[in-house]
Amino acid sequence: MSPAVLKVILTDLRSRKWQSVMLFVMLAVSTMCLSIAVLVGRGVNDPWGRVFEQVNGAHVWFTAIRGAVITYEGGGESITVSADRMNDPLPDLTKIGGIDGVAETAGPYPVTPAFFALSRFGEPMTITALPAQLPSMGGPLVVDGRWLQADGEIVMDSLAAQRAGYRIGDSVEVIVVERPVKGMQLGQPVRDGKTLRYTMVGVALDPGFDFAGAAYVLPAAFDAMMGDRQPDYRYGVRLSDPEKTRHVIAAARALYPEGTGIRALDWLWTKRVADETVRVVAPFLLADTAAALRTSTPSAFNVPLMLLSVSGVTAVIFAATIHSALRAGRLSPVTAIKRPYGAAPRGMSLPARLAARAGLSPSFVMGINDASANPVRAVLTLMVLAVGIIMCTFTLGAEATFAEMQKSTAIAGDEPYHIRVNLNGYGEDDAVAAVRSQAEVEAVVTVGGGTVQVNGVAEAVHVRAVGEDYGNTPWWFLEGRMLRKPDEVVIGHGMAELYGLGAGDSVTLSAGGATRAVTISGVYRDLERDGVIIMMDIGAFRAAFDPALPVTGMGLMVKDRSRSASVAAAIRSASGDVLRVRPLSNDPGEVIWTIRPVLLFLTALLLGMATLNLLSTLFSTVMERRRDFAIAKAVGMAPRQVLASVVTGACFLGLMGLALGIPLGLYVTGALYDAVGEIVNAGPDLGVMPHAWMLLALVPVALAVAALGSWAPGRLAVRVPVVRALREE
Amino acid sequence: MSTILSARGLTKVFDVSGSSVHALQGVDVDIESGEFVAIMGPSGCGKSTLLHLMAGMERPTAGEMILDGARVSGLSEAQWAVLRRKKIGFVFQSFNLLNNLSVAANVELPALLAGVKGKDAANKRRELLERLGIADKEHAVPSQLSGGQQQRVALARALVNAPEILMADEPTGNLDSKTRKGILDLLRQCNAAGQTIVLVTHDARVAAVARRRILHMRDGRVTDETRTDGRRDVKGILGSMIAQEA
Repeated sequence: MSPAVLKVILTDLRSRKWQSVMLFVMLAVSTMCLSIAVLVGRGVNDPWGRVFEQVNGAHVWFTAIRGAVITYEGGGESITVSADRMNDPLPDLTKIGGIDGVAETAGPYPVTPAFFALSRFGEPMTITALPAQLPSMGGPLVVDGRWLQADGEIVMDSLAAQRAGYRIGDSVEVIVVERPVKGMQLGQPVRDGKTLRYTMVGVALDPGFDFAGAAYVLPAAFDAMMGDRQPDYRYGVRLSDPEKTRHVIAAARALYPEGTGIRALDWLWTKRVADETVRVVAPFLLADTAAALRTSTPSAFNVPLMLLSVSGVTAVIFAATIHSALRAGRLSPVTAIKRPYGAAPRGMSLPARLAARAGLSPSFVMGINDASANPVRAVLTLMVLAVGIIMCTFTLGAEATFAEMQKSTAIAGDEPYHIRVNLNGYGEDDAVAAVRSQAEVEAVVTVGGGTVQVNGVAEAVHVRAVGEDYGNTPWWFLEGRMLRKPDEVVIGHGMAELYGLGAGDSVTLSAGGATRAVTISGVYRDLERDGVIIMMDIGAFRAAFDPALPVTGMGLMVKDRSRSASVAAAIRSASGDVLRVRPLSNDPGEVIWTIRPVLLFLTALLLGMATLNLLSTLFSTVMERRRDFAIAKAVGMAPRQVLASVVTGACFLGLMGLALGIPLGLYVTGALYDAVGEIVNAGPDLGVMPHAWMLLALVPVALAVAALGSWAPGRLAVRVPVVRALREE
Repeated sequence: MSTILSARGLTKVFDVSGSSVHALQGVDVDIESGEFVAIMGPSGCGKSTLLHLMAGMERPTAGEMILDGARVSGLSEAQWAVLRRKKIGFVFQSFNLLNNLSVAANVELPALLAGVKGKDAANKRRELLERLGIADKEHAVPSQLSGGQQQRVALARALVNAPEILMADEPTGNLDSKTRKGILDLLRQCNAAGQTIVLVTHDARVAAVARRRILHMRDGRVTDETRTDGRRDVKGILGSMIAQEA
């Protein structure tokens, strides 16, 4: 570039100092946003999936847990390890390999029982025995060091290694403990044990769904570690159709008696956790999130990535300006001098004509005309404004959702109860009596579990059979209402999607040779079994299918949720410590305060960019319209009218931005709610739309921001010197 | 005839790159109602500056002005804007129409700024455009008009509020001879109807249109004044010498 051209460029920039500064700031912010997007996109765009495909991952890992009884409550598994059952034979997992839809199997691999092995920090480790030749399906991905070659070696997953602070070559301590005592549940480590040491030779990534620290040793080393103790076993299956995962799991469970200690962890659940955690909070928790998910951690300061971002922005700027630059190069000097601002104007814009016809004052009409006379600029400014408003609308929706979550997290599919009670063998009537004896308890819902087939489809669907005060429990309904009659049921969102059912539909339930026709009164959100669940009256279930169906648990609502812990303690005491009573905190505070700052930051960023862009547009307009302002002042436009003209233009653009941004924002909000619901398998509409008053409040706020923002360019227009400006033109 | 505008000791000093340029040096001017006054002089003599000061588009460095009996020297920009709407019409050499507005909107603008209702402003506009022979152009935009037509529109705009005084700065400077004649005829007609006009020009033929008075300027001073009644009023030392000679 010649010095003369450079001088022209610099002079041009200096002559529009503020405009140049704002343009620079906007480009810098855009580059930053693009960098973050690339980082997040690259880092979190299915990081789990990348590893999964690299290792030819198993879609489901079944684990046979020695001495365990597994029950389902509250949307999760409850694994109780009982010393009495330690010598019971483990179920034969290989039967699962014969299920229709299973394409490949891996294992069974022996794994250490829960809390048999602990890290030096007392964290449970799941140590799997794998051969020196890594399996072709479902094995871990070695990302650092090497795989096992000798018995004294251990390979750890990246999470476990990071938490314990181990590096390649370090000596890893594994503390071997005795089997847990009777009735012990996961979450209560036992610390006495002997210490074994291995040399860490590699770090691996394991998409195998076990979030306890995973580690691997050769079979001989594993046998030496276990001594005469018996291991659990782990069996992986890869499916020909991953969408049939739930069906395969149901079929697998049906192979074994109920309560058999087989745990099934599927790729859908893990992917949901990975996506939910990473995508929602990724921008600020990349390192932690990625480590927690045991996937590759994108470096925040990856130079090639940053260069890629900068190149991307440069390319966009180039593409945006090349056309104008080529046009400038082709300009005829005579034409350009005659018409410094391009083609002759075609008169007032349509909005200005409408404003004039409406009888608005000429300064307002001029302002609207200035804002809309250049359609390309107006559209570009509107688009940036609209993006800010879209983000605002979404954030308002998020706040409305947060407010709803503060009342109850049932909106997210959690159980709406305040206290969970496990009968633990206590009699149903005695349990209900014990609970009702507490005056603070407002509602009692008894819960039992069963399975039925729906409309003759072979897969069994879990039934949440409810009794007592279920009618008013505030489950979150996507359509319809809670069941009220014995021949009514409500179905979970997953079931509605899977079976194509909705409120008002009639279905036939069958179990044990009996059938019953019922009507679906509503579709509700339930995280248990990804919403593939039916809720029906326990009396109706007993009458139709199983008179002996036991009540295994209860959900309680209390008058004052803050007293849940004390009420729970009182109930426990009233039952002689037989009932297992647990207050459910379901406190969304942590989730809210993780997401809220991100949303507020993004909103402020986009609104800031929109305001800067508006300012830049206004400054450009004022500079281009110097002559017009001078003429207007010459024919009698007062300074306040000039200012009003600029402010009117800004407010006009602000209003148009709202008119465009709010409907788009509502659409985007709804789409995002559906998308997040899809990702976390919680069904559509995973959120509350912003309330009308919130959107209405946006209007004066936007106008105030536009008016305040237009003050500076307005003052510039007011100070246009009449004679000098006309002479310059 | 009453004095509509009176200026005493008008001085304007411009600061150009650190040095002072004395554009006007103590100019005294009286404009009487119904007069057609031409201010003539070579380029850079200060005639346009004088006009701009009289219209309030520039502030004098020193001096006093009285317009329609009221002292206007120390008025604010907002007050001058009101004055320009109501009492002063201005026509520029380069027409200075608003390119984004139609002819009709351009002409109506001062009226609307002065608070005239839309309907009344439209009526005034139609009447003026009719009088100036461009009624058929009311929906056109300035870029679609010839120079002469644009200047007629500018004239209509300047007259829409029936100003006390019409000021024209080289109104025919950008026009060909035929068009120039047309504009000058219009100005004459306006003056014949009683409009007070102050016109600035460097062209003697244009100045000759001003039947009453021609003020001659040189180096920021009024040096000479010619009246249609044959009287000459030569200002300054040269003037007094010539008077003595006479």
